[in-house]
Amino acid sequence: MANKVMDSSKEMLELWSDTQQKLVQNWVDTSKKFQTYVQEGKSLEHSLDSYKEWFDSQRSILNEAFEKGVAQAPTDAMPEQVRTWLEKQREFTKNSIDMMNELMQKQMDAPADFQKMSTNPQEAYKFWADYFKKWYAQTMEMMGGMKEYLPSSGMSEMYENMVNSSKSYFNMYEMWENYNKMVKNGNFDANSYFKMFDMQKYSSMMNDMTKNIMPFKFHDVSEQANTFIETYRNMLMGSANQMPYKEIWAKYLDMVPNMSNMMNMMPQGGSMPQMSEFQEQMVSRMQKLYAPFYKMVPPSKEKEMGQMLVDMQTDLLKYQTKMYEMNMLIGQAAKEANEVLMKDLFEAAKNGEQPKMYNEYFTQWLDTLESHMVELFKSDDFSKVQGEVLALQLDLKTAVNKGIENALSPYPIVLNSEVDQLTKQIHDLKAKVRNLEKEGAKEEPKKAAAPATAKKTATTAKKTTSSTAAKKAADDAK
Amino acid sequence: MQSKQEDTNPIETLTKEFMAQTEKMLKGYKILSEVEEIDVATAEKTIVWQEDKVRLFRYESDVKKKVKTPVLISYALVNRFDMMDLQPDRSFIRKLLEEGVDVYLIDWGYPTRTDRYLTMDDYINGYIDSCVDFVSKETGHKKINLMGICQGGTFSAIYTSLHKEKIKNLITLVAPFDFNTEDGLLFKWSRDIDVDKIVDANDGLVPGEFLNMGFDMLKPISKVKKFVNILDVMEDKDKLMNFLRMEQWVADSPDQAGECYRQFIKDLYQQNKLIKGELNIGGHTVNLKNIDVPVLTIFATHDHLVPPSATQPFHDYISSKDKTLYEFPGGHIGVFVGSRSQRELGPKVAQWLADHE
Repeated sequence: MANKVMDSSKEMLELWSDTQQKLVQNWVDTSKKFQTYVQEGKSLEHSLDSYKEWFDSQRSILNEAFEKGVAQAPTDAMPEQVRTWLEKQREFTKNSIDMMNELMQKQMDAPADFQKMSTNPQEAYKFWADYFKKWYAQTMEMMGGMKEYLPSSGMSEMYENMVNSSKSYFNMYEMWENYNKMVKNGNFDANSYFKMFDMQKYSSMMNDMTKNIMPFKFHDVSEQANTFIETYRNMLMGSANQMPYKEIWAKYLDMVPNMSNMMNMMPQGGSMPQMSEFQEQMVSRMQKLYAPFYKMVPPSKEKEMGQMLVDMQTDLLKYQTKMYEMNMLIGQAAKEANEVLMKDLFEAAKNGEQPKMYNEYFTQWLDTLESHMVELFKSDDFSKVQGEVLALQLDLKTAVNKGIENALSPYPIVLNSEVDQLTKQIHDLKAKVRNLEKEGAKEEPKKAAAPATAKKTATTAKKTTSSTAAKKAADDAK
Repeated sequence: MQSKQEDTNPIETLTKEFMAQTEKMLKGYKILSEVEEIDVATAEKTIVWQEDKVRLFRYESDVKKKVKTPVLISYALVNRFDMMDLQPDRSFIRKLLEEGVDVYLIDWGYPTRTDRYLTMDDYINGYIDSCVDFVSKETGHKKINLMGICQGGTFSAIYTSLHKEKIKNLITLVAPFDFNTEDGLLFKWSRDIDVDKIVDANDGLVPGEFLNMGFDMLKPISKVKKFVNILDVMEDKDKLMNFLRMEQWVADSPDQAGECYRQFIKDLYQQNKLIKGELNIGGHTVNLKNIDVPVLTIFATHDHLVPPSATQPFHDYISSKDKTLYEFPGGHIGVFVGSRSQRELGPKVAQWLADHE
């Protein structure tokens, strides 16, 4: 039964893969033909025929896929997981087919659009490219979802890494497109290229690529701290003990979030160190302003927590500022890498070399990017700011941990700090026992030698006594 | 920069590239779904001793022993010893066994929060010493051979300087001794980190993930490069399994006992106390001059984790007359899993041991 299920899953996968391949090949063949017509100046007379041929092929491929794809697997006997997986396959195939039908219908309803596209190959290309990207996005989403059906977490993680790195592969394609166009048109120019370059998208892609290698997954800790602050704030404000002081609390606890809004008052064009200094000055002033009111709240665990929340919020602001500074350094290195790459490619094109195919371009970009990133990482500036960001992040983590312990302390549970005390005692005792055992082991050879010496002495003494006694007996006999 | 003449029709290029990538991923997915287990460290071994989470293995072998004095391998606390026996045809340990060496290995296990107070003294004068005593007693050899890998090599050198009466020969592979170098990024970065915060904020147990992320940053784009290239080998199950085993090992990073980590970073990475003769372990100052046993020190020329400049100075501080510095062309991991390692390094180490019986 297991084999039947695996076989039918494989067949489904192969069917889906083959169908996609055939659909795409159909597009490729049609576009090739169409390009020839455009070059021969015959696009108008052949456009409708081309379209009809393409449409008929697409429909026949899809119909065939549909017929084969009707569920033949013995779903009743399948485990839940396999059934769900198969369902996902079917759902995706259906979505692909629906998308294709929608596109074809659109084309059927608006032949004028196609006429327009047939006289404008650039627009036709853009149309197909946009459509393909939409299909690709759906494919990547589906592929990402497939990982949960892999046998072990190691393999699903590997597969996810594969899908993610493919995303960066495809994302860079857009940048290669612009370069390729300029080279083909013979109007390559580094300055014009950079004007067309979408830095926002590039930065976003770099963030995606680097976020999983940055120490400690910075943004996770930041989110965790934010969530903790918010949750505990609400608890504190709702606490019966603090009701009489609610308004004071609100002012005190809101101090830092309001302050972050005031960052907009920061002079235009200010640098990160300036922003950091500005922030610290503002917080200090605000704390002095509210300190007298805060004194009215009586000492208690809640007051301690409240102070902790304010400290956490200021630490969070410092951390985010420093993090921004670090991201700027990385972004700058990535930008420089791209500039170097482009200059190299344009120089090569100027010297009459063939323009790079996408794969070579992508590999060269990765190598250039890595060398720039490593140069950045070697710098004192980066090392320093990385250390600072890490320290701030860890401060936040410590504060969250302490806050959680405080929050849990009224409950009948064993706290981590209490277990740690016991662990320390056990460790110290173990160390003592080990030292005693080792000393004892050293003493053993000495003890082994000692009884042998005592025995020898006893035997000698006994002999002497016996011989003395014997002699005495002999003497007495005389 | 030269590229082959190809049709650069953008639609064809676009669609062909996309389809090729998608097909490869699908093929890869099929193979992955057929793989049930990623097997590493499969050489036969038996647990012969255990204390807390630390285990001592003895490797089984039918090969006649050419080196009678046993070798005790002390691996680093970072990552797992599996890399020394990644797969049957890429196994430094199997190579040693084939050469007739009697191999014991310390498995440090997976520390948990209850191990947070373990110090360098516990590891060196505690566990390593206990393992040395056990091997010595079991095999009837008063002195045994000690082999340390990476941080394990540093520990082994420290142990030998404190207990040289128990050690016959010392071998270290890709181990750091002199931390005052700018050649490695880890050495540079360690000077700007607050190790107390790292340990205390993580409740005394430094996560393996944290260490892995640091290692990843040494070659920041390798993850992307690796997976672009892997798509090209997806159709070959053997090549894919090689890749999967390496990935498994890389990801298998135990957490670090906080106190040991704290001292290792502060005293060694930040203050370089070992070379300066200021390192204190369990109340005893570690003096490398005490090491006068034969020493074989192996380092990798392109090691980005432990650069040669961190290893080579070791010989300037020991008083051994018989000392060999062996340069191996390759990287930190290549020393164990590369094909040259199989052909060259394993036999060389075994021969050196035989020559120093």
